[in-house]
Amino acid sequence: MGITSIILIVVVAVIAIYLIGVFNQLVALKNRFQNAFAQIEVQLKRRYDLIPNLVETARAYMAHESSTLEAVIQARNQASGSLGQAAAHPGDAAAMKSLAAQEGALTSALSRFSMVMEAYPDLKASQNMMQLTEELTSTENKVAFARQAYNDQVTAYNTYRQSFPAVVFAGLLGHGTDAALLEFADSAQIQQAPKVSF
Amino acid sequence: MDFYRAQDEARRRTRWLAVLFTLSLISLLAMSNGLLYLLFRYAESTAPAAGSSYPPDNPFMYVLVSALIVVIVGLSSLFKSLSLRTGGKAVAEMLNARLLLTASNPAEQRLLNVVEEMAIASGMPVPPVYIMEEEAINAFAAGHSTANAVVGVTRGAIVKLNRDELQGVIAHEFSHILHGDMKLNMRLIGWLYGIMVLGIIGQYLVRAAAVSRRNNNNNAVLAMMGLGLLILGASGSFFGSLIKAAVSRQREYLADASAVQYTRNPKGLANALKRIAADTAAPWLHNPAASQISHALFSEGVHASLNDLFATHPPLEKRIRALDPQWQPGQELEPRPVQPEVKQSSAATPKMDAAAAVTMALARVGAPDETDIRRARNLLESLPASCVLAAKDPQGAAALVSAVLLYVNQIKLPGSSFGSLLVEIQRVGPSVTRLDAEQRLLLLNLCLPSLRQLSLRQYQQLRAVWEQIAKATQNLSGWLLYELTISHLDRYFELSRESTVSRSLAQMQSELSVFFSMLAERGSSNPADADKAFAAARNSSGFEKIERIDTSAMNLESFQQACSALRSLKPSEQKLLMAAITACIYSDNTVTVHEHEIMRAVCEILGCPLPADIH
Repeated sequence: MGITSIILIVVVAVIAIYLIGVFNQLVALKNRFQNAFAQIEVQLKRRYDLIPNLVETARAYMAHESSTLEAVIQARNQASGSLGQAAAHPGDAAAMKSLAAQEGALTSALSRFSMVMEAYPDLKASQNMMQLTEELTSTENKVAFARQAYNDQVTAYNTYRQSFPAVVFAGLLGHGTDAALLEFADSAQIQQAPKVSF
Repeated sequence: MDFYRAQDEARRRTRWLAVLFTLSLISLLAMSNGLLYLLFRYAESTAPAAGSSYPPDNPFMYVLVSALIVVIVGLSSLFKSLSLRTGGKAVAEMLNARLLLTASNPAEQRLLNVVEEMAIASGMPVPPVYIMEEEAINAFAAGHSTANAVVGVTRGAIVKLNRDELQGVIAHEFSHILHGDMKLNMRLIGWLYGIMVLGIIGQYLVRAAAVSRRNNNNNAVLAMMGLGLLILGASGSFFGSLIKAAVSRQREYLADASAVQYTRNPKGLANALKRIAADTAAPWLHNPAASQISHALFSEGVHASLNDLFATHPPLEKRIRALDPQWQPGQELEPRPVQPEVKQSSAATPKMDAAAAVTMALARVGAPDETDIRRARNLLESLPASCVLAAKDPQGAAALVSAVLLYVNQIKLPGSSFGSLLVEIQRVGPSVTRLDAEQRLLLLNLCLPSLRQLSLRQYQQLRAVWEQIAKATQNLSGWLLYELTISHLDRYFELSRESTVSRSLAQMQSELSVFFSMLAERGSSNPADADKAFAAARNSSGFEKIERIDTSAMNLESFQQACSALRSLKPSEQKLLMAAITACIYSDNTVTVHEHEIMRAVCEILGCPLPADIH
């Protein structure tokens, strides 16, 4: 047990401790984006829960537009399904893509629905409908906000994972692939508004 | 017990902990050297000249081994303490607990409500609530200070306890937070890890020796080394549990007593303990990390084992009898007699003599009671539902805080500064304008947990806008609310760090001058009152040298620097600071709502838990 073996032991110990630190940081960053996805899930669920209400309220007025309404319900069910999948594997590329695709389909079904609704001014002006559409818009805003946060956290994880020295050990430590961002086709930007004050 | 005295006592116990730790280490070293000696005797007696690679008996070996042990224990403790530096969150993650942001069933909602009420009643930020998926009834509070505290509760506790019992348990945990026990418990986890680690290495070595099929002689010696380490590890655990018991067991009686003081409901806590006593089917926690924090739990969490030779908690029977002397095991649990809810009006606080207000405030720090809890509940119920709902998600919370800051500061900003938040701000704006000062402060506190869910980039963008708002005025309330929000969040997002160096009053005269000038000038309605207020501060002991500064030239940054300097004040002088602040705020012989709001905001910024009501 000479000096060299002692030095060797110490060096190995230091490397081990360092590796543990890298691993912990990877785990922490992964947890963060998973939590951020949970926030998206909360808002998307709210959105999906609002839609049946919306459709039922509209059905009373739009008796002949059943195809449009059914399209909305269909799209909503499919999106809800892919949300369940995605929530089980946040950051998984396939799941994120599928969720984005279904969400896109739902958004286009909804926009077709609102175009059709233009022809029914009574429906558009009804208290119920106005409240529901307002809540829906608000929820969509929250989804966008939550998605921003999620993408930020995913980027932070990926950047750390790809940087030195984490990149060397990431595969060994079980963090071999980048997490996937969640990209929705963005809705129109908020208009420039006058000054805000109270 | 006086809050400041309790903190002093907690610090004394920390020193006692250091002594015990050193003694343990010395005993470990003595034992390890003894074992090494025996090992050498064995190696000598069994090893022929050839085949054995062990060095001759050499004093240097003992020194080396001792040094190695000290290094291993030291590094492990350091490593563990570092991994706990994010505060209570680290302990929660160690136990695989899940953060509970929105309740998915009434039982979880009830837990969130109880914690919220307790925190607001105590005047501290609402700690994040974590759930452990365990059947046993148990709970913990962890963190270094009220600012990074978390509360954890088991699924069993949520499901098996009723509201009164749950409130008793939560009040017990808050007592740990308010009495400085929590910080001590965190230290214990770090330090004890080092002592226990030898045992873990020993276990590994013994297993390796048992599995290996190589040289029998080497094997045997390896096994003996492993065994030796196991013995060391066992003694490490022995010392560990001794330390835990010595330092934390007595505190449990005090925490129980304080919980009763807070809730004025001994039956609640007593019934919770009785339920635990009766819960023979699932008393222990399954998580292996539980033994590391067994001293921080509400009741015994880990079956008495090598790791916990000494009980970390007093016997359940004794605790129950302390609250309910007539109890016999096996009795039916009595429910609390239903008391009519007395609705307290949240009207303006009554006019009160200044000197009385000062003593009252000081006495009430860290000592909420059940009127505070009721008042907290009423205040929560008085908030408009739309605001409470908005506070639960990050975007809504961001909008609420922005709206509050805009309103309090009476500022106009172009809508583009807020980007996509604008619509949300305009939605909540009208409700925000109808809130009174106390509700505003409460709402800000409710928003903080959701704001923690922002990404760093989102927070920085928001922070820049809020800074713009606060910088545009010299409104004291506006500055205080801004400072309250960002000092909390900056620490969470690690944009600033709690300073580890504490300074004395004498070292921060310029910051004190800035702070009190601002407080006196902007907190008073006319110059004469301002002079009186400043004079009152200067009359307090320790503040004779502060100087009045012209506040019109003052900017937000210097005020913020003053606040962070005050936060780094030596604990032994914090009471003096509180006395001076209360003297300054209440100098004009009346207590107005405005002054009360300032008092509460200042206390929260300085991390001083002042309960909601001065009565």
